[in-house]
Amino acid sequence: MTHDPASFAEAWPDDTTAFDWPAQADWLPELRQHALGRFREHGLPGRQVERWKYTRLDGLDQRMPVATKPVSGAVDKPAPLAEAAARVVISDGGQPVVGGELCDGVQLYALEQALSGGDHELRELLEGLDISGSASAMAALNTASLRHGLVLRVDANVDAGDMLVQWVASEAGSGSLANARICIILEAGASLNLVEQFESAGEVLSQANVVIQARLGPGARLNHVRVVQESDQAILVTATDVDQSAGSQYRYTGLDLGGGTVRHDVRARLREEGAFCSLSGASLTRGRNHVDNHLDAEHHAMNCSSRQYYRAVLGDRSRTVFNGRVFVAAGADGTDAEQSSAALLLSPLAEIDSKPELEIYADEVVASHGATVGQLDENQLFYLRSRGLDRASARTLLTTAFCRSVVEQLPNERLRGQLEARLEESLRAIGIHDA
Amino acid sequence: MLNIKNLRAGIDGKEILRGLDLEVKAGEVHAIMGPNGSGKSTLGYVVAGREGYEVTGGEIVYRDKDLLELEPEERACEGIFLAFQYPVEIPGVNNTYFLRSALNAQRKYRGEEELDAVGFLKLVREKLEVLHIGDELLKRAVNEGFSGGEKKRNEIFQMAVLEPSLAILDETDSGLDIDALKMVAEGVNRLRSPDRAIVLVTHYQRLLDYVQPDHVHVLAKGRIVASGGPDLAEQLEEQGYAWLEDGGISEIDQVSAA
Repeated sequence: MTHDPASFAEAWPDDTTAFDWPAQADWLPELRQHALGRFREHGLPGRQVERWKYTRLDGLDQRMPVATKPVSGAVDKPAPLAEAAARVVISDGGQPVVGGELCDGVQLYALEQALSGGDHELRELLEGLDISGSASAMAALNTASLRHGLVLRVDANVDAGDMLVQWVASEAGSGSLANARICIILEAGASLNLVEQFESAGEVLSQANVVIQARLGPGARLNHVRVVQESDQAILVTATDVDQSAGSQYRYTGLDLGGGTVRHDVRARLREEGAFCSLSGASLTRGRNHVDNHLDAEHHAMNCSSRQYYRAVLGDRSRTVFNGRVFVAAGADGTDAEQSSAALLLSPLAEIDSKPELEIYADEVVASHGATVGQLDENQLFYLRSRGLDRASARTLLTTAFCRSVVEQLPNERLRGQLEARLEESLRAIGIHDA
Repeated sequence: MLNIKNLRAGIDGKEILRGLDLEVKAGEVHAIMGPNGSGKSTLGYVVAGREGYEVTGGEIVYRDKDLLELEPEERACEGIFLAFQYPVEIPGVNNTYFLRSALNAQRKYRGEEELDAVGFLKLVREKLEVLHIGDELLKRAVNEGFSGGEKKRNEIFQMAVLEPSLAILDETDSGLDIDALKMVAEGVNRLRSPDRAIVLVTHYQRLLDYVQPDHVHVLAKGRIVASGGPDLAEQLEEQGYAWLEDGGISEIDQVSAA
């Protein structure tokens, strides 16, 4: 089938006001219209765009009926979110459903509700997302259909604790693209542990385009865990943009354990002195899964440090893309940046495209990167087998250890245990046969 | 228990063992000594089943089974244990988890019930105490960041837990201080029993001060060139291996005949 990005873009109406939007702030239509223009200009990102050259969203094009548009029509009254919540379920990119308790100093709104008010900081955040380039076309599309999602604020010096966001796709939602946005604002010294789970029951055709924007005040801390375990037909595109003030810390741990086409862009902008980010991930792919991780650590100020750590295990005919970029602006002296990526190919038909990118314009910088691609170590395999473990068990043990290193640093022991169990389960699904 | 006949084996097309004969009976401790490059480590690897080593002739019979037909893990489950000269580091694999998996794999193979975490820990603590090893070993990844001595201790500890019928120690004594050496000897002596056999592959006589072998063999250029009792080891210690090169072999033959 042919792939024509333009036709997908043209299928959209010229005017975003054609949709039946609920009450909204007066600046919003213009933002949406501007974003739609950007998206229509570029269309779906394709091979001609460097940052997308390995990942095609053809499936999205072929599967999307022409009438595809943001969920519209009759809208339930914006459900008043509970004052306190710790668990949010978002089905088909629609209205979030909140349960549990939130502590004092934490405010959670449905995006739709927040958009109807005059929240200047939210406006600034939404307008601040870079949707100018052809690589950001999906983010532009997300902005063009801004409506559903969450706004989470944590007051200064408040520890918001753990919050789980579950993204769910249903039969009813299959066939349309779920666009959703989460905005997180952590005031100075605030902290949050966010766990995102992308998982759908059965073989649902889910397709989602999710953008997360976070603004971390001075000394704020955001721990962000994302687990993707979608069906082989699913298409998931996420972009995470984190703006970091002085001394703030952002830790991202992404586990890609299933999904037809999965693309993550995770970008941390270390904008003020002493900020730290750790962007790490593991992907376990099988069948014809395609997982693409673009991790960007941008050093714009002095004495910031960043870590990128990525592990991939590939089976069958799966394909993984890792692009780890470290950018150090002129004057960002005292930068300390480390990057490590490694892949295990369990099948001769699997493919990894691994690309470290270091762009350094400052003088006093410590930057290191290492990348390896290979098979399991024969010495280690023989050692384990010589103690009685059969080949399959030995391979599983070594492969699990390889992936486990990604979650080893997570402070939450219970979560770590759950993630380790997930990793092992997914490895069994890949089938640790002889490669 | 172990009967090796006219074994020829090598790696990368290079023949290292050139017609080796060795018989080890249950209850015996054998020491195999020889200069570097004589084929000592190759012998251990071939018995344990390491891939890459090609057997081009001869046979190895272990408890009436053709050993060369078995996978490395089957050999382990049949009771063969090789203590590595250079134990392998395995980051990310916990020592306790690994050893329990190994023991349970062997128990399962033998039709015995697998040990649960509690039962295993009890067994392990018992062994650690006997061997005077601290239990911090249990929490670490397999051999990761271990000193040379710690790695050798870990091998002996594994041997103590797995209780093999035939243990082959490949230069486990080299590079050890006296305390570690005694611990290795303790591990070997505790394993000694009428239905087990032990083969100590070593370059030096030192270990044999603590473990009295029943038989001593000299391995040179891929063959056992002399066999005898403990005195042979002493003679090697005094005279070194150089005299093997020029006509010394007949002298050893006399010793072994004595």
